[in-house]
Amino acid sequence: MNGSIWDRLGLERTRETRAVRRAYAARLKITNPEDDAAGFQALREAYEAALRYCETGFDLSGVRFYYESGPDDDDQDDDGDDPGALPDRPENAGAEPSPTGPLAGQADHPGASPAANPDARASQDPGPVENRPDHQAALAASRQRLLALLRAEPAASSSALALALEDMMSQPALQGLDSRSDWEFWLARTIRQEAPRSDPLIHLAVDALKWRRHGDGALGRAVDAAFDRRDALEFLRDLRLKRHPRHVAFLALSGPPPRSVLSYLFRPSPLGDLPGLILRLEEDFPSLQEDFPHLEAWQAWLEVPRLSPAALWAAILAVPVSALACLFLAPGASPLTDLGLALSGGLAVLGLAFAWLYGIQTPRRRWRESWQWRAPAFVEHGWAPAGGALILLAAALPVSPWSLLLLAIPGLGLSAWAAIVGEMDRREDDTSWWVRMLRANAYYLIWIALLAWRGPPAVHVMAPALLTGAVLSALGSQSLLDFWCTRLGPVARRAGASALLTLVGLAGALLFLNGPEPEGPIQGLVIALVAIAVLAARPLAETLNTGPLTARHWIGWLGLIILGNLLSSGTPYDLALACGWILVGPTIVGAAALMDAMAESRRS
Amino acid sequence: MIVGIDLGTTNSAVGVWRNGKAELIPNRLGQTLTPSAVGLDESGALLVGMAARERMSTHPGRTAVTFKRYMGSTRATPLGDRTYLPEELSGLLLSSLKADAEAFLGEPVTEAVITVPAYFNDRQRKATRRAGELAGLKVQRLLNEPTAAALAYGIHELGDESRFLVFDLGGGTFDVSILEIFEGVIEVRASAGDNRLGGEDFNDLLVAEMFTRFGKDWGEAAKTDAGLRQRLRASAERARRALTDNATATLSVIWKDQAYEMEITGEVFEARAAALLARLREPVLRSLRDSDIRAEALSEIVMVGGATRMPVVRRAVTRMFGRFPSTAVHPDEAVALGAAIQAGLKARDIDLKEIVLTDVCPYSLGVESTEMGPNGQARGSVFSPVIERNTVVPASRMQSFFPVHNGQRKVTFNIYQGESRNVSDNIRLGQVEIPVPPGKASEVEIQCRFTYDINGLIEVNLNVPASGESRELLIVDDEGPKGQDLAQQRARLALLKQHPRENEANRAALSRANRCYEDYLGDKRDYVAGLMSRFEAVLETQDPLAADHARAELTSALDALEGESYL
Repeated sequence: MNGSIWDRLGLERTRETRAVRRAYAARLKITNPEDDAAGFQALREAYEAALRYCETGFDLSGVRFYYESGPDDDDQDDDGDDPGALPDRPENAGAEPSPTGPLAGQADHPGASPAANPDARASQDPGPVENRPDHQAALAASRQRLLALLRAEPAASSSALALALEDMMSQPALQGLDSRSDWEFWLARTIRQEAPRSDPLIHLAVDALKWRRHGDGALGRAVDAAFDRRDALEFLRDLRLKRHPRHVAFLALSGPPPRSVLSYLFRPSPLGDLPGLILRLEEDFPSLQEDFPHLEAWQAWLEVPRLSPAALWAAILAVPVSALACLFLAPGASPLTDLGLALSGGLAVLGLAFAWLYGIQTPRRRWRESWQWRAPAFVEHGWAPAGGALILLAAALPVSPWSLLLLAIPGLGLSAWAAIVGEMDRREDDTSWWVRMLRANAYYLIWIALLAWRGPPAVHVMAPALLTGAVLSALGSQSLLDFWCTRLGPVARRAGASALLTLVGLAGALLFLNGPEPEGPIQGLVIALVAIAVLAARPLAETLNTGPLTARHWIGWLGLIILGNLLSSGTPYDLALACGWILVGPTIVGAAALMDAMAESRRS
Repeated sequence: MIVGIDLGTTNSAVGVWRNGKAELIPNRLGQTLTPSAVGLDESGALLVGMAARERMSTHPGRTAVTFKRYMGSTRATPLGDRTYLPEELSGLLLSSLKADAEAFLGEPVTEAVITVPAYFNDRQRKATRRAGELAGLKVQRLLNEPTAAALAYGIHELGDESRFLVFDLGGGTFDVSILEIFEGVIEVRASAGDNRLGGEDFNDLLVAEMFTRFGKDWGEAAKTDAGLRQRLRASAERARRALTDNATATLSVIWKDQAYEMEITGEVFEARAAALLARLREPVLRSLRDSDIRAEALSEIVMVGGATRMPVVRRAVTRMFGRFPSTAVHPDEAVALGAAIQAGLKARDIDLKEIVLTDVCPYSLGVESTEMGPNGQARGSVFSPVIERNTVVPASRMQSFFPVHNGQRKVTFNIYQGESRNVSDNIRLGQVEIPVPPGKASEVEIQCRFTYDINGLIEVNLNVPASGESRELLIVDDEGPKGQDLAQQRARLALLKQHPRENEANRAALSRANRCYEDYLGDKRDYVAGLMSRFEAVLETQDPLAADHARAELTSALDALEGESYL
């Protein structure tokens, strides 16, 4: 069964098709497909490979053939052929759209002559149409007309193109099957080559010729290219609409990038999600890259790390604004102090800007390019448990300004770490990243704000850690989710999620049993646990889905209970308020669940 | 003894290979072609063939024709007060052919090669196999009809190298096959077709013409009258055949004791048939593309099937290929002769030692999969072929698949047959599940191997190299009865009474006379009535010789009246 193709055919290596056929036929009489299916398959493989060798000259005789296809075929579309190559039919020279080339030669096409047939009814039939030279000439002329229209200056109108196409399709020469196949292929290739002039032809061709995607062979590939161009044009048309999510980025991409710092500062329009749009064009619609002449300039422009115009303005205005503030808000101090304060204000902002540009954006690029795939897991994802640990630590600290400092510095460090290595959710619209951050953490931030306003004083100490948690969760939501889903096994995931929820429940129970003690350490611990659970709600939701109420809803409810308890402790109506929150909580959570379900059904 | 049977939509035939050649076996009426019709007479006895066909318009509720169009479905046709599945009707037809063959050969016939359209899908093929089993025949092979015709054509040309195309337009199906002959090997390169295109569709065009012209006069009741529809179809068939030799033809029908006639010319017919003729191009183009052969490289176009006698079809074919088609084979008999040759090959007849035939599978086979786009978006319900169409069978191909999500525990493979990219447009053959070890999706490989054997039996093997698990599925006949259910079904069919063979010819003649009685009015009707009563009187004497003589007279009188015999 295994052996070189020439062994299986019993033949010396040759490029003569006849000899290969003879050998195959001889072997076939012995290995009849009815009796020996496996032997026949091996023989057939060898025969087809030998025929390919005769045609192409690729030396496959040394390769051992097994009658299985290779394991490198997977469910991705793997078309290794060059889409621009002509099919391997040697007689396909007639498909080239050249005015004086082989097209003219089709008139001398040596086909069957109609007069030879003695059939008496031949006089009634119009006779074979394929080989009539005048029809072929008419087809060739109509092809030339279409090409001329496509290449004309100024551009021909789409109605003129449509007329030319219809005229071609009604040519009698297209009744013949070969002519028709050749012409269809020529049309598909012309549409691709003459883009964007040939764009109006695509819809006409698809409708009239009933083209479908994913056809076979060279024609199928050419037709697919035409469909790709059509999809790209639709995308372009949608981008022009104001309500398209990437419209702002499209407007920016249509013009050149700002050339100087001044034009950048005074730029009238925002950029939107320009990198996202460029990525989309590269991946999905490569043919549209010609429609954006400034694309390369923008790509070069985006390579350099930049501050947003708002940050630049803040850096520029920091010095005069802080100077004015010192003058008017703290009068009486010496002007030197004022200047010093103003300068320090400005320097602080500049320092932040530099830190952002060179401390975060540049290392981020380096990380993406070279370190990400090499780093161990704790470097890539370690900021998440570190943030959790920081929040728990914050619960244990006493109330003092030093605690704030002790928490703020690691908080900043962790945020920088997450900013460098973390990945945010990729977006499909033009909203800025900080808007999305606020939206994703709205519940959490409102929760903290309410606690800070009316809750125990422990919250004020924990504030830096809690805010760090929000920043971490926003900056690294995607990478946290990836880690949770792929690196942890299902048992570990379930264990972790259940443990966290149990802890939160225990904390809540402790809170109730403890009674209204405003200064206790229990309250800080409870706040810390609930904060961690809320921040980790998304990966938890992926693991524990319990019907219409997901894990997020359960956590939200617990958070509300505990919020209520903490807010009302110390007041005369604490127990009543606490019970009130237990009842109000489900209502709010139920409403949220309902809205989620409605959004889900609207989307699907 | 093994025979070859052409189970056609309109006509069937049975042939055998002996004495170094293929020959067709005449039925109990002495004809080589048996109409594919099954009916019950008033006493509930079974009628098959011409005897049933003649009753199509007089007793539409007790006669079934063109049931091949519904093979593979569970459409129940009423005959009398019980309903029958299409495969049961085919089984009854096959039993009749089997009896004719046994009577002719003088020995029992237990095995058969039955032809099916090349474009029949898996369900339709299994239904044909079941029909054979119901008739008590072991189906040794289901042969594709164009391949059978190619055998009949090519068996004389074995020395030369040639490529030809078989254009098979039968009563209900259209098949195209491109074949290559060299050194005694007959190789099918590509097959394509349309299961809903045949001579009957051309008849329906003429029926529609009649309705357009006379629909208002006939009223609403005419639309649902089955007898009228059958009479219209019969009239359309006659007119279509007449147009083969003449420039015009007459469509005539009796409705509520009044005659309606309409003239139709060849040009009008061609204009009405333009859409059907356009449908003929698509399978031809597809098979040319699949085999990568140009139309001019073909040495012959072989026309098979009664409908290819139509001049409109011949003209369309001439225009498509730029040459006139070959008339070397008999369009009605080629398929049965080819089946007989294949039967001979199966029986290893000494004269056929130098021929080997290889065929292809006409449909792609694959699984339902999810395609991952560049942004990570997934598109589900996509058909991933594992064995592409027009692969030489027997074939075995393997493809690797991966689970969609990380940490998946089992993967379900839905097996489909068809060409469309969406699985909902293809035919579902079965399902098999395999447990997979947990892990990252792109690292868990599942090897899926499809095996398509020479009889069209499909086997699916799944294997996960990482865990060593494997599962297999044999696409068996889930829809048909198995084992003792088959025996019960056969017993149920055997309960139908059958007339003795000798009476068949007389019954057929009487049925034909009865149909003529209904088709005519006035003087002609009285004339036919007179013929019938004379014939029945002779039958009552129970004298076989006199009966034969009277039947011959009746037949020639009806021939003179109708202008031609029905077949």
